[in-house]
Amino acid sequence: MRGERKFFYNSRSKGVNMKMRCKKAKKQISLALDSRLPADGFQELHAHLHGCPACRNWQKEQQGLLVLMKTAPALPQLSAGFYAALQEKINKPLHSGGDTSFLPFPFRPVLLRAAMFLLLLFSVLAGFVLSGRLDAPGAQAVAADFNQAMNLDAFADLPVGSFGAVYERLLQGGLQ
Amino acid sequence: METPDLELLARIVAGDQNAFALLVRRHQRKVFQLAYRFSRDRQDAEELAQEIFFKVWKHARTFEGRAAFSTWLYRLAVNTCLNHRQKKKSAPEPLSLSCDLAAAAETADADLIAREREKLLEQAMDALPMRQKMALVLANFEGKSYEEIASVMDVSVSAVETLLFRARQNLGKIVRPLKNKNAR
Repeated sequence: MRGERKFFYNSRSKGVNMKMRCKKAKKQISLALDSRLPADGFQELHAHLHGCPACRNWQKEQQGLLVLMKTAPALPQLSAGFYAALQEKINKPLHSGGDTSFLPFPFRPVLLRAAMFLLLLFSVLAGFVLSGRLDAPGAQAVAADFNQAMNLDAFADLPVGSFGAVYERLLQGGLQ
Repeated sequence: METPDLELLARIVAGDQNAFALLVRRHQRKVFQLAYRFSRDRQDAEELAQEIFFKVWKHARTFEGRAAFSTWLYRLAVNTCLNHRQKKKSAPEPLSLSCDLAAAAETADADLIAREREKLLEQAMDALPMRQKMALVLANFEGKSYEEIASVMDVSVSAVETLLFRARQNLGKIVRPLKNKNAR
């Protein structure tokens, strides 16, 4: 690379037709290898190659590689079972999450998700309904009966959560 | 009279497996060759070809007909190959200097020399960045024009020019030391 630059500047000072930089020349060589270089570009490149051995070598190297690529050996053939394997693939269900053959109906993950969502919705609604029932007057009467049966009123004066005081009163026979 | 690809594709959208079989048979060689040239492994190439055709089956309805079917198929193939390589995340094999051209020359076996050269080229191609390698495969092995490569790789024509130029530059850089070593 350094050699190429040196050559470029030296040759320019000598007045040789080296207006084209080596990088551009190589780009043009690449295009020429694919028959993509226009005629005027070809002339410019030709003039550069005439005075630049580094680019000439690069061109030769690339031509050699291209010949090597074009004479690549024959490729292997597809195996006989190629289409059968592909057919098996396309006939397989898209989301096969384990063995579901024991089910009496085809397994549909979307339906399962929908059912789970409905169950969740139902439990939330049921929660709302039940909490409404607990606030009803009948429910309060049931709660009062329960308190009386359990003699819970004996503890009514104690603050909520004071388990120590409840325990002491129990020891003193508060429930009797 | 051969059924056109587009007609087969329309039948595939309707779930016709016979049409799919016809389409696969028509294009399987090209697709497999591209996959093989990219992966250099027969089993990998077959798996890739299957994945590509599976995508055709699955996404047939997304074909809008703006480009030719073969371009769409190549685009699917190129993207699948590039993604497959990224998934594998396998660094290119280190260039082993096993290609002993000098030794081959001593035995004066032209076939052996040719084989060693091919191996050298394959190793060098494997060391190229994926997109450069793909552009080179499409241009030099598949004979695609710059416009076709641009359409298949979803880039501009000038980007194709740059990809190919860089690929060649890198290929030269990789091959040169190996050749020099072997020549010694």
